[in-house]
Amino acid sequence: MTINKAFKQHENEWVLTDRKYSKVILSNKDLGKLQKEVKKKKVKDAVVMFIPPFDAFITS
Amino acid sequence: MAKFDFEPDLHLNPETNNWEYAYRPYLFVKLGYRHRLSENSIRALIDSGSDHNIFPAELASEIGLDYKKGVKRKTTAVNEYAFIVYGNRVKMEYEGKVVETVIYFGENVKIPVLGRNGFFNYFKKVNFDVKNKNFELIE
Repeated sequence: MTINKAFKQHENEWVLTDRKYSKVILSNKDLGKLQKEVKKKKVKDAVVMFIPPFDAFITS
Repeated sequence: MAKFDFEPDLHLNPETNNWEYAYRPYLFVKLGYRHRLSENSIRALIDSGSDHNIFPAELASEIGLDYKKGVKRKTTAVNEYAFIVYGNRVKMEYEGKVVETVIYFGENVKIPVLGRNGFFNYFKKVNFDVKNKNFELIE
């Protein structure tokens, strides 16, 4: 599976996408604000995810 | 047994300056509290190095949970900085299954994490096949 290149514009943001990462439905740097938009537009069955920094790795 | 492919993240290789994919063990989950269930899935990282499940506080509000009423704990990552999280019993749905578990919610958490207590302990084994980019949850 691959990610649509449109995601490049959303580093360090929260995005709402579909399970195949084919498009960014909504995005925001603030998760709370994204949730309000999601509720307003009544989007269901999508995926909320954070886009981690592109040049960093993740540690726990 | 359920098998899942690692999910991709875009990665800009700082050595070659080429775009690549970093494949990571994410699971799509929904959270529930009382009669409310999140409308959309959340992509959470399966992390054997994490003691507990840690999620962003905003995800608690979505299901009507006042997370600060939960058990207050301090947590730390690999650096010296500790932060406060609140443990709450919630429902978690993945792949059509629903379990009750404890999730610690905190402010400024960016990547939801499924840890050993509250996720791994529900399975007999969790196998990571890094070479083939997949993982198995064995009950």
